[in-house]
Amino acid sequence: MQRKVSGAKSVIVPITTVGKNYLPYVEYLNNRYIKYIDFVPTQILPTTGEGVNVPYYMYFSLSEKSGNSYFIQNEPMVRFDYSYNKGIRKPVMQKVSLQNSYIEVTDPVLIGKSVLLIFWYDLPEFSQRNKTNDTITDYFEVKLNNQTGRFEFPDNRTMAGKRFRNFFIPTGGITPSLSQCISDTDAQKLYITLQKGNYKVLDAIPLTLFNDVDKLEAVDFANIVFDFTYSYISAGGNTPISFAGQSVLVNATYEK
Amino acid sequence: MWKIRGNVDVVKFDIVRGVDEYFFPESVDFREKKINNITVVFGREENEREPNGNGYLIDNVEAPNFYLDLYDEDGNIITQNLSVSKLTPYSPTPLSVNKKISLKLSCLRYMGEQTGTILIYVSYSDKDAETNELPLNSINLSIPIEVEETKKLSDFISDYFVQSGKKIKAIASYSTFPFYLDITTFNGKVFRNIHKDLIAFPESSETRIQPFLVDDLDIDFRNSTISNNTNTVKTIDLTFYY
Repeated sequence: MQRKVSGAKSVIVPITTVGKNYLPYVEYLNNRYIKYIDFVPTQILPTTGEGVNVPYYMYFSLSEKSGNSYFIQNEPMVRFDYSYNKGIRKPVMQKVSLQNSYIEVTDPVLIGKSVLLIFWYDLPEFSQRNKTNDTITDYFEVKLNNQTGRFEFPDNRTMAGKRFRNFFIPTGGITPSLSQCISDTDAQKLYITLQKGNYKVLDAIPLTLFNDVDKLEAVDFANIVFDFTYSYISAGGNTPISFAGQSVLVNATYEK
Repeated sequence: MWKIRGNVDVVKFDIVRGVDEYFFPESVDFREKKINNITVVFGREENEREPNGNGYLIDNVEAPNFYLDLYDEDGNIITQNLSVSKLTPYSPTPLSVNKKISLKLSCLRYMGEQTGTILIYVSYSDKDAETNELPLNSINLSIPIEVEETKKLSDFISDYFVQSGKKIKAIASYSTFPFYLDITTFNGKVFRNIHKDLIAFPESSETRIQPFLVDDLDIDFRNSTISNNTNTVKTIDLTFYY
């Protein structure tokens, strides 16, 4: 089974009722081969609104592409929570119909909140098979140096145009440029977007998914490409930014 | 697939105040050998001692302040400012090097202010073997050990097992206390100062996928020892798979 992923998209599902809450239609995921789905336990969503931070009282049903049958039906949401499954994700490995898929909610407390799901999918346009075993693990820092909540990647000529296999985003400590590295708590409020031209290869993915020190399996990319000039880290929600002046350190492994 | 550790050498870095770059010594066993992977061990218990010395290991919380630069023998970058948090024994993605490294250029960088010791375990081998099977047979030793005491493994294993000449394929421990293990084999291979974290099995709050697999070791239990480098009396469980 090909475990590597090449694209990811965050999908926000508003909980409006006790019972079935259908997923929205997402153009990015239309006709895409979905590999895994993560439930992100967070109160701070990439957009405004309150997130659901515990995976209980929710059951997930995922429809196959035709919309006629469900190959995952009423699976407890906790199975998709990456903090519980330790990175051992439930394989999806097919095209799905989002607008026929739903989250069944059994607790009215969740009404008014939103569930954040990450869809990992195959993106052959911006990925490729391994061409060599030779890799380099380099680093770059994204300075969280403004109050706008959007922090652009630095210009990086060494890594521009490279094909990436893995990101590791450590938390805590001091970075090589002597900035304070973001804490574990702050990493949960930050989202990474990698863009190639106008296409969002990774779209608002929580940084915590790339801090895999306590996971059994890490997220590996299938040699993806992106533009440093269009990519950025954004702060979720509309809470005041408490981490201004700190840095996000990214250890990026790419094909030589 | 798990890598089988053909040979393991440990490099002790003494971290002192005012110095932020530490280079590898030239006199290491993996000099001009192909490196398989690198694991960094910090102290996980208060006052955990370094092997064969009086210094203390730097605490695990300092791991994000350490960065590793590795260069291959031709001077090409393998890693640059790689956060050492990725290289602790509990990381799911051990760094696979698969190259000879330049000892002159490769270095460890520290951004914090603690003093003490960290241990870098370098696994190297001419053979680059892998397996996805764990051996089924095992023998367990239960070793009571006093403060700063070193004991021979042969005192805790039956003569029958020693005489049977079983080839050891993996070593594990369920103990949570830190200790160091020295393994000597009849064909001259030596594993020195193997820290508990390298052979620990999962604990309730931690995960681990890389068992300490070895290459059919013919262990000389009379010349293999275990030592307690903490300030408390322990009973250590040690399991040999064959």
